[in-house]
Amino acid sequence: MGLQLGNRVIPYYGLCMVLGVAAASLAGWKQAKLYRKSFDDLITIAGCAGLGGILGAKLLYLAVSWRSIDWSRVLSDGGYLSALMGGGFVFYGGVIGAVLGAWTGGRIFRIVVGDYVQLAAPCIPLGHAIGRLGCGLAGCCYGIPYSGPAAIVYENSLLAPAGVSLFPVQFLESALEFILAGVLFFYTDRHIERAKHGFEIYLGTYAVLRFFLEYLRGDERGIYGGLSTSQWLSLALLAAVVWYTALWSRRRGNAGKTVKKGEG
Amino acid sequence: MAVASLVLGILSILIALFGFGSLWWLAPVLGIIGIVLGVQGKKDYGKRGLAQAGFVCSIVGTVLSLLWYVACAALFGSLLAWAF
Repeated sequence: MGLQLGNRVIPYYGLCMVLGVAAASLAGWKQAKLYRKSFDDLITIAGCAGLGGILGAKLLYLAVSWRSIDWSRVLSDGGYLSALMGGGFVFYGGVIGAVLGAWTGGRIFRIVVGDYVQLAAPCIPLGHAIGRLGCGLAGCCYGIPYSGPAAIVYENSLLAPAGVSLFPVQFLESALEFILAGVLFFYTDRHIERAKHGFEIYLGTYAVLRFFLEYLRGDERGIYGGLSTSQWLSLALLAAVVWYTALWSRRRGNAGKTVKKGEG
Repeated sequence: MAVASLVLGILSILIALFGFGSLWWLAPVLGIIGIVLGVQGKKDYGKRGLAQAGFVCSIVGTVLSLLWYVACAALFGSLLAWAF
């Protein structure tokens, strides 16, 4: 479950989360330098997105698992509140919260958020890929029972069933996100026009990947109407990306027509 | 902003190291706010050193607090059983 350092154990999940944030920050620094943007402003937007992300991930977790929470103990039992606040985050809640947090940060500190979100797009799957390795090592977000190649059996996980052969969905998601990060870095590298679509490509691709990966998840998913919460959110996210891209293309087309008329 | 960043950074380190009962989950939140205020505080040239110190302390506090997370979309019952 963790890395032994003297008489302390550092959980793999926390370690991977820190390494993921560090890798994403390093990549963000490189991207800011490449596109000649302020790294300080990138940190500000990333920090606001991080705060919004924590809040969003926690709120969605509380919404999804509200039935299993003993609300009468929340204010009276400090230990219960601590376990409730410290454990349990839903990634999609984090994405929505992060977008709102970045937008709010941009308004407060007068930063053009769009430029930074686009240049940071490849850094998000990179950090998430490393974080997901932590899920695989800790045994959270585990897969369906499976006995084929690369199956994992957890013996001492807090969350995964002990001794059951499971599909390595966390490692598959991590590998796919590394590939997505690599493709985005390669596709947007030094191309300002391409980099303007980096975030939409990331969100759209991740929504599709996550929709199908959900079928391989074996942990509690909260099913509504035959689909899990994350699958509904994937569909909503994909619809939002398609709508935004269509709107942007139409505006660009109209701008092109106006320029041509002016030239004539 | 610089002073607030330093205060939040030190608080996040203390909470991350010593827990203070049920407040440990506050450490990354305080640390991230400290990072944002530290970065913005550096724009005020007179308080640049203080803001830099706040920025570094907040990063240390955030890293230390994130290290102790054991899982993400955790099943709450399992965590509770582990916590007590």
